Amino acid sequence: MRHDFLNGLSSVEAEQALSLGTRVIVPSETSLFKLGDTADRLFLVERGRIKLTLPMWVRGREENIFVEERCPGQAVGWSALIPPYRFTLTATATLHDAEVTALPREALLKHFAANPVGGYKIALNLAVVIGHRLQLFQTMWLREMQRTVESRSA
Amino acid sequence: MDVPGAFKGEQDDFSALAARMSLNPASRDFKELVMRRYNMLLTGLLMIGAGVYLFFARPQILSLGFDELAGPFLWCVGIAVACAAVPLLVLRTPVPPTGFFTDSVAKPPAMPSRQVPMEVLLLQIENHVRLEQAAAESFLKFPTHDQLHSKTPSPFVN
Repeated sequence: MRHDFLNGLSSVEAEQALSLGTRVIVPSETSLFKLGDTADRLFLVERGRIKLTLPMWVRGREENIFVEERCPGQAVGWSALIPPYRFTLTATATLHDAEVTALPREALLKHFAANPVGGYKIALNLAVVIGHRLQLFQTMWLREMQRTVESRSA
Repeated sequence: MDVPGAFKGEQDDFSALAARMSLNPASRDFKELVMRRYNMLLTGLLMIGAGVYLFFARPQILSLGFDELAGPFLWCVGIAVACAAVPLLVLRTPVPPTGFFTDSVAKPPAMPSRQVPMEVLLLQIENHVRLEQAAAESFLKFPTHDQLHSKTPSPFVN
């Protein structure tokens, strides 16, 4: 499987990076990490789907509201590489079990230091993931703002 | 009987106020309170007028002596009632209910609950987010004004 996070790397470089991690099975409806947890591992989805949620008050009780879904080949939990290293979402396996490769931050940083070219490519891939999320939510925010303005000025 | 000029102006203001407040059942108490005070003054003035009329005009249809007693009685009681009404109007101008402009909208009558179950609501929210993301993705692929503000079939925005 080709991971977005490893785009541009040779298969050898990709294998080297993947060898840093361990496979983790996430049972259905189980949390991989929770909002506010210490983010010390980055996850690459191998199988199944991971749902990202944020808490919201609905009818007087707190509910985890769907924000995004990550499929095989996509990365989850890049907060592990961004200070202050805290997860800003909750990640849960959907109706089926999921499998992820967990890459510890410390191991990744050592790998980047030893392989700057590979580290640079991975950092660019990370920027693409973060940039896409930013653009996506910026657009969603603007659409929501537009509706708020319309409803307030109606 | 004409209301004195000062009261007439107030009455006009009040009419406008009362017309607005009549939209709100909760404000009827306020309207009734003010009307009761005006009625009290009018009653007092009517009693004074009736007393003066009985005392000085001495209508023939009434029995002898009645006008001499009833006239001053009505006169005095009328003055007392009018005197009691004036300070109520002048000194204790009724204060509109708190939050007049914010609370003046009548509350809708209690309707039987038509809320969708929580699970359905959460699914609707999820569906809304997915539709919004898809719309945002479309915009990012082809950034145009129309794409940015394209409508989705989500029940939350329709």
